[in-house]
Amino acid sequence: MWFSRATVAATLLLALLPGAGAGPASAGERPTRVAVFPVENLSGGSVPVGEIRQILLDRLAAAGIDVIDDGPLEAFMTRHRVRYTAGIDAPTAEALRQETGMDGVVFTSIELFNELAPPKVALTIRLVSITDAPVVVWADDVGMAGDDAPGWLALNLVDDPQVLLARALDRLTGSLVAYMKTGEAGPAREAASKFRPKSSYRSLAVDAGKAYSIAVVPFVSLSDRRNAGDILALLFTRHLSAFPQFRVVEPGVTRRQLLDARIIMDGGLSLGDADTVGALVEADFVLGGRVLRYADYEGAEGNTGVEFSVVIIERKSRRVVWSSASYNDGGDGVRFFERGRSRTAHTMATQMARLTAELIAGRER
Amino acid sequence: MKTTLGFATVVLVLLVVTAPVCSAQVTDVYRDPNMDFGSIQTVAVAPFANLARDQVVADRVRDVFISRLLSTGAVYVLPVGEVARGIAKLELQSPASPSPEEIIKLGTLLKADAVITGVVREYGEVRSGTTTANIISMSIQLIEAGTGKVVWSASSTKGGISFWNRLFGGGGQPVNKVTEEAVDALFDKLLGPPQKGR
Repeated sequence: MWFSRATVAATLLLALLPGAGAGPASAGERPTRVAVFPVENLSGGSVPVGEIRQILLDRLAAAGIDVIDDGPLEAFMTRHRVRYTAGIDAPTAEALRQETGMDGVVFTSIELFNELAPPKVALTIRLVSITDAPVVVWADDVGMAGDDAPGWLALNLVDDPQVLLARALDRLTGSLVAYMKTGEAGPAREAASKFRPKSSYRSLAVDAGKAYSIAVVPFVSLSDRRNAGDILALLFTRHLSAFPQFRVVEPGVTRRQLLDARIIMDGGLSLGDADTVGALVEADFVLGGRVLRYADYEGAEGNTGVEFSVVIIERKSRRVVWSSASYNDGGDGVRFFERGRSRTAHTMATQMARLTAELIAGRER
Repeated sequence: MKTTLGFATVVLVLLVVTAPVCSAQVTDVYRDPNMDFGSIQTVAVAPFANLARDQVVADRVRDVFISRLLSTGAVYVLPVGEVARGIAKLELQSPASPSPEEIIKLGTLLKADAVITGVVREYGEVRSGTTTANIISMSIQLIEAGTGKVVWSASSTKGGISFWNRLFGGGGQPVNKVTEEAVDALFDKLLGPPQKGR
């Protein structure tokens, strides 16, 4: 009797494990043949995007992943006049699948690349399955600073931005390759509880075992940081797709529908906009928000800060079912020897988004 | 004996004279006694007026206010985008301080029972000598959408330089913590039992 209960518990635990991983394992088929699109630069500065993409291509090829060559991909983009390469809409995805035989696309977005010592880098990679309607099936992100872990006598201090970039890409490509080979999400990176939303409201009715479609629209940015709204939307796409109860609509699909419907959300997500977007992309929920602060700094001294609010509107009821406000400073909870200091805004934002997504999914810590 | 009696008389007279003044307790809360607050189920929070230096302060406080108000479960708050849509549609010139007619129109358009307006008077760091601390001072008005009449109003000030700050330094509490306290204090005044007023 005891044995059977233990077996049931172990089976349930195993069934729940993939959902708790860092990389999403949501609905959609795991792609085997992929196209790597040009890198999106959200940093607002100069970034070696070609070099980053080449490193990514080399690592994927070295791991035995079937990647489309640059020639056919460029020919496809020219033929279809693909100008937006940070996402993919449904017609383009279908054409890509039919003409090249690819069943997935890798999108890389670089959020921060600061070469001034100590260097800082932050980027996000997502894998979109195009076997059916484009859907994010895996995503991971990394934010690093050269002085994150200086160690004894600062022996571990990283001064070379290329070394830091290589480390960041190593981590992300390792995670991507592991997913593509095994279909298993990597272990979840812990998020400190200090990054929980400071206030939240939840009235989300999510049935167990059912996958809900959710569209993430760009956040309205009131911060000084360029592209802060897109960065936050990307982080929420990345973290929500880690939960099996959510099927995150590819941001390229949402963007296309926003453009087609000529929706401009200057003041934030309205009920009418959510209704329109939700209907066009067939989403049960639409997530949006506002970024008030997204601050990084250059060099060794400075402070980071992230502040945003999130709202989710349910299409069926046309009501707000989630609202939260999150704000943190890089020095929050730092007591001794700078331990726990966040040196990039990304490091904080990803944990804040992660913990918000957990609460949205109904996972209380 | 005579002196003691005289002193007691003076004290008694003083007490009698000052008693009405002491009982006239001034509060910063106005609550319309004829209003049925239970009838308010949906509210729209208009953009707050900003009298502080930082331009995003009003939006920051408004977001915290909305999120915390929703989390009380007392009322349903319309999303800020919906309110912005209504303001744009009605072409309100000063959405932070709408007229009663504009409130009625906005309430009808958004299907809101009430509209909340607010002012952030002070926000951020204050300095006195070598001591610094964070402070927030804000006031809120709840206006009935059907009549455009103010039915509740309150203000809240939190933070600032305390005696202990002056004595030991320390810089006071983080500004976000002070903001949460100020907003919670307003909710206590709104949702709690009515305060005794003049």
